[in-house]
Formats: sequence, structure tokens, C-alpha cells
Amino acid sequence: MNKKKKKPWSYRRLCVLLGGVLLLLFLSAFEMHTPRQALRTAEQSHSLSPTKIVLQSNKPAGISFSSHQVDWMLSANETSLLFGYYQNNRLLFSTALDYDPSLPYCADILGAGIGRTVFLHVFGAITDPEITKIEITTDSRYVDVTSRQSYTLECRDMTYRSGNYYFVLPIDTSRSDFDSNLYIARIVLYDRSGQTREYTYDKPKVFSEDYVQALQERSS
Amino acid sequence: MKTFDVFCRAVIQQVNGATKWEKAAICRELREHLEDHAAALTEAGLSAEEAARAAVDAMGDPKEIGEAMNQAYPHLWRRIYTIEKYAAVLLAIAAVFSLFLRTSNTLDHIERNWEARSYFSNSVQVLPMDVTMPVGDQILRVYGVRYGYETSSSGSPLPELTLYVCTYNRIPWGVASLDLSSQLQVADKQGNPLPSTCLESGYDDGSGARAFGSYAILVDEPPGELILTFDVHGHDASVRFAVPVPERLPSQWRQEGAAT
Repeated sequence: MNKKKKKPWSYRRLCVLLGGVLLLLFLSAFEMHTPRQALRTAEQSHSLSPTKIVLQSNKPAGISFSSHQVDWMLSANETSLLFGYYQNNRLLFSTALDYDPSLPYCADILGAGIGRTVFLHVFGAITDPEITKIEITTDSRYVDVTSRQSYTLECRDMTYRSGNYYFVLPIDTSRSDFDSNLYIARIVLYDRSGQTREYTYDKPKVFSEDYVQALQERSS
Repeated sequence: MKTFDVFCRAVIQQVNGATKWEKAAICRELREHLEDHAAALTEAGLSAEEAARAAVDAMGDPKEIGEAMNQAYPHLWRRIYTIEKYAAVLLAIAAVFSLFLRTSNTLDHIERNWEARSYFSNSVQVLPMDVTMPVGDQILRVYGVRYGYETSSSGSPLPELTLYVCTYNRIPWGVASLDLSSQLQVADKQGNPLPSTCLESGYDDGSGARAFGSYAILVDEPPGELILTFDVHGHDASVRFAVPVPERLPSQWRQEGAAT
């Protein structure tokens, strides 16, 4: 019986094999994570059911090898939006926001300061298909100075997934803006018929409203 | 045969670009060829020794044969392989250190997760209790209650209950939910919402194995029972539990709370 001779191992084959081993050792030594792992951590920290990535900062998918880059990801499931900052596919900060059935949108701001660099983003989703444009006004209160900025976004420029329009808007900011309390002060929605709907907000509450009210009532 | 071995060794000494397995294969091929040739010469009437010598002579200069064969094996791969070997050693050392650190971090994380499962405050002012509520993969644990007071704007003390909670993941190496420890609603035993606020919440260390939270609840008298609800991110979990009462209530409660 003719036995097929095995081809002896060449340096080329050894290089490919050892290259694979090197890659595994590298990933193991520097604990490289995938974006999916980072997202799972964020979901767990907010008690969220699995979400799907809707938008993320411009970078090639897969394992990140950069050490200083901070990336953001917006993901969503049926009930909530999850926005977070990640470095080397590790979670830095994140926030989760639930859709309010009584509102045609869902939006918030997340900011993070890493070293001297500040990241600020307005993110959200438009849940009403009749809306064509959104105007977001942010207020930044620093001591007694309030600075106001407005941003307009067309729905056609947003990412459309499962009936919702998603957006992430980077905000140019300085350190003082970040330290002060930046919040969404007003949202104006424009629909197809040309009508507008306006929603205004006061400064975000540190303590719950009913608690503060009860405390004031009892004090008086 | 010794003559063949000497010839083969002389040839493969020149083939630097081949691996030891390739060199063995070259040797085998050469030897088979020499043996066939020598056998033919032996059949033609030569002695074994003469036949071997003649077969080797017929092959030519072993150095030239080896150099010609060496051209077929690019040296670039051998050099890359040498570099990779050194890199593998360095990375293996780094990976061992990393594995050691990661193992100790994971063990620390699991230890904290297990601590959260039976965590009780050591503070003498906090009454220990043990109530759990599962929410998805997370567990909320109410581990203590304190009867204190909040000072009103007029300076008078208002009775206030502080509830201490912690959260952890069912999976010992999973991350605890911060939202579960910070976004609870409090109601009395009839289900009426009580004025409450999350005083503080956060992870107790960087591992994320357990999260803590404390809630201030304004009440007029010891509530007896409370209902905690977590109704965000698509969850709808609640737990009803009896709130322990200390043997002696703080004086503010006697004056402002229990007395009224």
C-alpha cells in the first residue's frame, strides 16, 4: 500500500504557526477585550437586557490596540438606550436611559473627563416617525453664569434602526463647561406637517422631587 | 553505510535554509538514490565498497550539491522564525505575569461577590436585616436600616429612615448593577409611595463586584413594612419586607415620630 509521504515542516510553516501562538500570547498578556465584552459589562452595570450597537465612534471593528483613544458606543434594546465611553474596549463611563412612552424622543448628555481631555456627547433616539428635525438646547451653569448652545439635527442624517432614529452629537467644550452642570434645557421637535412640539427642563435634580417637597412641607 | 553518511552530512551542512525535518528528508532521498545506484553497480560485478564509492563519486562535489539545494530554501523565513522565537519567550513571560495578576483580580472579585451575599454593616447604629430581591441576573440585598433624623430648615429634627442596600451579580465574576442600587422606589405597606431619595451609590472598589446604595426615607413613625420596587430598563421587580425596630428608638423619633 502506498503511504503518502508527509511534507516536512518548513520554516515558513513554523513561522505561521508561531505567529498564531504569538498573537494568542499578546492578547493574553495585554488582556485585549472585544467591544462586545465591554458592552456586556456596561449592560450588567445598568441591569439591562442585551443591547445592539446602533452607533459607535469611527474606528475599525474588532480589537483596539491604541492605548489613548477613547471610543463611544450607543446601543439599544426594546426598552432602553445605553451610551458609554470605552478605552481599549474597557468600560470607562456609561449611562442608560429608558424610553418614555409619553414622549416622542429620548435624549440625555454624558460627559467624562480623562486627564485634561473632556468628552461630552448628547445622545438619543427619535421614536415618532412623523418627526423630521430636532433642535436641542443645552445649558451650562457655572457658578451664576449660564451659557446656552443649540444644535439642530435632521432625522435624515441620523441612523435609522427598527423604527427609531438614533443620534450622537459631540459637544465642543472646555473643562469649566464640564465641571459645571451641563444639561438639556429645551428640545424642539419639528414634524412633517410643519408643527413644532417643545419640551423644556429645569436643572437636573440631585435629590428626588418628592423627597425635597416632603422635606420642605415638614420643615414649614 | 558510512560512505553515504559522510556524503549526506557534507551536503546538508550547506543547506542552512532548511529545517531539521527538511534536512532529514534530503538525507533520506540522497541515501535512497545512492543505495539504488550502488546496488546496480554491485549487480554489474563491483564489490560493495567499490560500488558505494563509485555511486558517491558519480554524485559529484557534495558542497556544490548542498549550495545548489540551499538556493531552494529562502533564508527570510528562517530569520523571521528566529525573531519570533525570541518574541515568544518575552511574551510568554509577560503572559505569565498577566495571568497571575488576572487570576488574583478574578479571585478578589469572586471573594467580594460572595461577601455581598452575606454582607452586614458593622455599625452599631445600623440594624442588620437580610432581604433579597432578584432582578434579572442581579440580586438586590437590603442589609441594614438606621433610625435617624434629618434637620429641617427651621432646625427641628425630622425622623428619617435610612435603608442600606447592596447589589451583586448571580455569576460570581459578573459585574454588579449600579442602577439597581440607585434607582429604587420606596412605598409603605399599602403601596403608597414614600418620600425617599438615594443618598449615595457606587461600587466599593474598582472591581465592580458589588455596588452599594443608601436611601433616606421620610416617615412619621416606624413603618413596620416597606415595599421596594425597581421599575426601570424593562424590569418590574418588587419586594415587601418587615423593617426591624430597635429596642429603643432615638429621641427624635419619640418626640417627632413615634409620639405623633
